[in-house]
Formats: sequence, structure tokens, C-alpha cells
Amino acid sequence: MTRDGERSPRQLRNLVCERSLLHRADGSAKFFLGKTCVLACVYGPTSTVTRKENAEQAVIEVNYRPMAGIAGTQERQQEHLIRRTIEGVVLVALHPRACISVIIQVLEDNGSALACAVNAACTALVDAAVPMHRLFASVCCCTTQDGELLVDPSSTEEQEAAAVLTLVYTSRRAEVEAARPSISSAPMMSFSSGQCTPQQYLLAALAGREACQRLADFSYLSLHKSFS
Amino acid sequence: MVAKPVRIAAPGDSVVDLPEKGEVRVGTGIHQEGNHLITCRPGLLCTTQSGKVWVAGRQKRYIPQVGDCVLGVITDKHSENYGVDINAPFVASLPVLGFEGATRRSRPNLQVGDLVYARVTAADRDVDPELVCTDASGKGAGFGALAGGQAFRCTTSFAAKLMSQPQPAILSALGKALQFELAVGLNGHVWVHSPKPTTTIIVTNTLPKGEFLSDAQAELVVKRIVSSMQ
Repeated sequence: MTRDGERSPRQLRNLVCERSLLHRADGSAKFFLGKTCVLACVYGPTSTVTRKENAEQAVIEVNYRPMAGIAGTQERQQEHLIRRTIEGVVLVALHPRACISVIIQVLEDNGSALACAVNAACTALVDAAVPMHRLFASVCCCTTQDGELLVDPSSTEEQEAAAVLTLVYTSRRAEVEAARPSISSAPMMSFSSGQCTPQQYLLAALAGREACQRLADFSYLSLHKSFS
Repeated sequence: MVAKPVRIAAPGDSVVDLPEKGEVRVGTGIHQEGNHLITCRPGLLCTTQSGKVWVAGRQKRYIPQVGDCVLGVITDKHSENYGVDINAPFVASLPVLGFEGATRRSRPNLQVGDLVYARVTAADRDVDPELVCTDASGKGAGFGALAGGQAFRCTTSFAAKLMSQPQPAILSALGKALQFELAVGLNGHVWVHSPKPTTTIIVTNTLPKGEFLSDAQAELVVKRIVSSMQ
């Protein structure tokens, strides 16, 4: 059974990553998952108002802007998820009282927008040289009404799905310029909507992990190219 | 101390395991995680034979280090110090007495918006950075307010390259063809001054381009510009 675009169920769409495209931001990146495109930019570490300051560590601020319309409660939820993901990898203790702002603008949404946004945020943080102890990659999986698992759904597949699951896995390398990065065994972030059985969830988590391995390979390749 | 061939590091790469005993000093871009050291910034992993390891990355935001020479813009004037923007997370403070020959009776005449070349004396992560416009012995040595000329911003790594020996090809090519003076701030802010305004403009426009050019390309660019001047 083929999906629109003739993909197999576990196949990712075309991946494209652009770095350092904005002149004023400390770091910026544009990430494409097929036609879904998200632009992320990072300012920081920089000073902020006293009431937002934390005397012991940096504060991460995320601003998620949808493609059309005004940001509402759903965008606040995406901001919360992305902020908690970033807080898990950034070494916030190195910059007390500072604020690291991540601004995410969805340019085109053809499914898996949150996963694309998380990938763009990671690349922008690396571009800004914000200290991190891991990199992270994100992918979206969904379970159709017939119970079939699809990785990286388009917007029609997402709308028709019984359950949609967004996963984030962290990655690191055992040595500088190692052949392949290693992905964490458990997801760092998991956001699901809809209904699915526990077996379907576990299957999706495993498939998501394999897809994140391929995304991580791509990210490290893109980073190497930007420095050489 | 010769640097060995560099490798491209991503955040989270394991660098080396810590020895059981002894003292290890951690360089920029390296972080201790449990029993081993990992990189926490992207860039080129540089090592020397004497055992120094650090990550040389390309970034726009400046993280202050004690001893660095930086170029800052005065943003506030207080009774005891000036507030200076050095593109760091926090605004730096430059004491009014931190100039050669300055006393409480004779203060330097600096205004908001002036450019100063200063040295970082305190750069702890919990406090605002502190600057001074003298060298260690109290002499001016080129520090202080900079008048005239034009300043441009670049990445911190390119500024470090401009200060390093041997000089990058773009700088030595421009230096052979034109006459100008340069003040390089390691915070990614560079000041150019020349008696002729055209020279200042040419250097300000050409020098930042040299970051991504090879030596041969840099020399070609400068040759083309100089020949078009004549």
C-alpha cells in the first residue's frame, strides 16, 4: 500500500536543513520535512527583565507562531513541549540570570509540524552555539483507523488518523567524528492525541526511534557540511 | 606547541575519559559529564601536544573571558562607572577610574554611543563582566575611546583569526595595498580607521568577506578592488 507521494509506511519525506540564514539572530535554521517547513531562530544568552530571571540558571523562552492566524492555546501547548525538551539538553547552569529565546515560525504545514519545529529548534540552538550536552531529533508517527502505523504523516494522513504521536529522542556520539550517532533508548518527549492500544503505542515508539536515528544521521551530516 | 589536525565536533561528542588522579583544566566548549569530558558546542576540536583540548566554534554572541581585548559601545553613564555593550549576555561595567591618568577630579569625557577598546578583568558567569581601559601596569597602551573611523560586526571566531599569527590572507593583502589602522575586539566587533574615507569603506566592506574565502580567493578579491580604485 503506497501513501501519497509513493512512500512506504516507515519512510521519511525529503529532509532539507538551512543554517545561519538570519543576520541579526544569534542562531537560525530552517528545517523541511517534505513540504512542511519551519523557521527557528535563537537569541541568547542575553539579559532579561528581573521578574523572569533565575539566579541559578538560564531561562528558556519559546515563542511558537502558526502559519496563519493568531497564536492560541494550542500554540501555548507546543511552546511548553518545546521548552521542556530544550531544557532537558541545554546546559542552563552555565548562564545564570540569562534568557535564551527560541522563536519558531511555521512557514508551511503539511503534517508533522511540531516534529519539524523541534528539529528546527535543535539546529538553531546548535547554530547559536548554545551549550548543550546532547542533540535531539523529532518525528511524528500516526496510527490509521485500520490500525496501520505510518511514520512522518502528511496533513491528510494526520487528519484521518486514529492517533497521532510526536516523539523526541536525544543523540550523542561516542567519539568526535564517529561513524554514526547513537540514539537514546527511551524518548525524551512524547506527545500523543487520539486513541491507540498500548501495543500500537510501543510499535510507534520503536518506529519513531528508527526514524530519529536517520534524522540524527542527517543532522550530523548537515553540521559537518556547515563547518567544512 | 603545534596544533594537531582539527576534527569537527558536535555537542555531546565524547572527547576523553578523565584520569583517576590529577588535575584537569577544562577548555572552552568542553563540559564534564560524570567520568568523561564531552563537547558542548559545535566547532573544530583543537588539541595541542601539551594536552590542551578546546572547541573553536563560530558564534555571534560573545561569552566574556578574562584577559580578552574587546570593543564596546557605551550605553549608560553612572557616577562610578560606564555601562558598555560588548555583545555579551550582560552589559559590562567600565569604572570611571579605569583609564590612564584618571582621578576623581579629572574624569574621562565619554558620552553614550562612544566606542571604547578595553580589556576584560572580571568575567565570572554570575556577575556582570568588568572592563578596564589600561593594560596590566596601568598604561593606556592603545585602550580607551576610539575616535573617527567605522566599526563592523563579525563572528567571534573571525575576530580571533584576525588577531592570530600568521595573519589571514585577506588582512595581509589589504594591508599591503592600503593604509589603515585596525582595532579588533574578540567580541566580534572590529574598528577600522584611515585618513582617506574611501579606504575605510573598502576595508569595512571587504574584510568581513574574508571569513569564508581561501587564501588565493582573498588575494584575488583585494587585487580586483585595488585595480578598480585606480
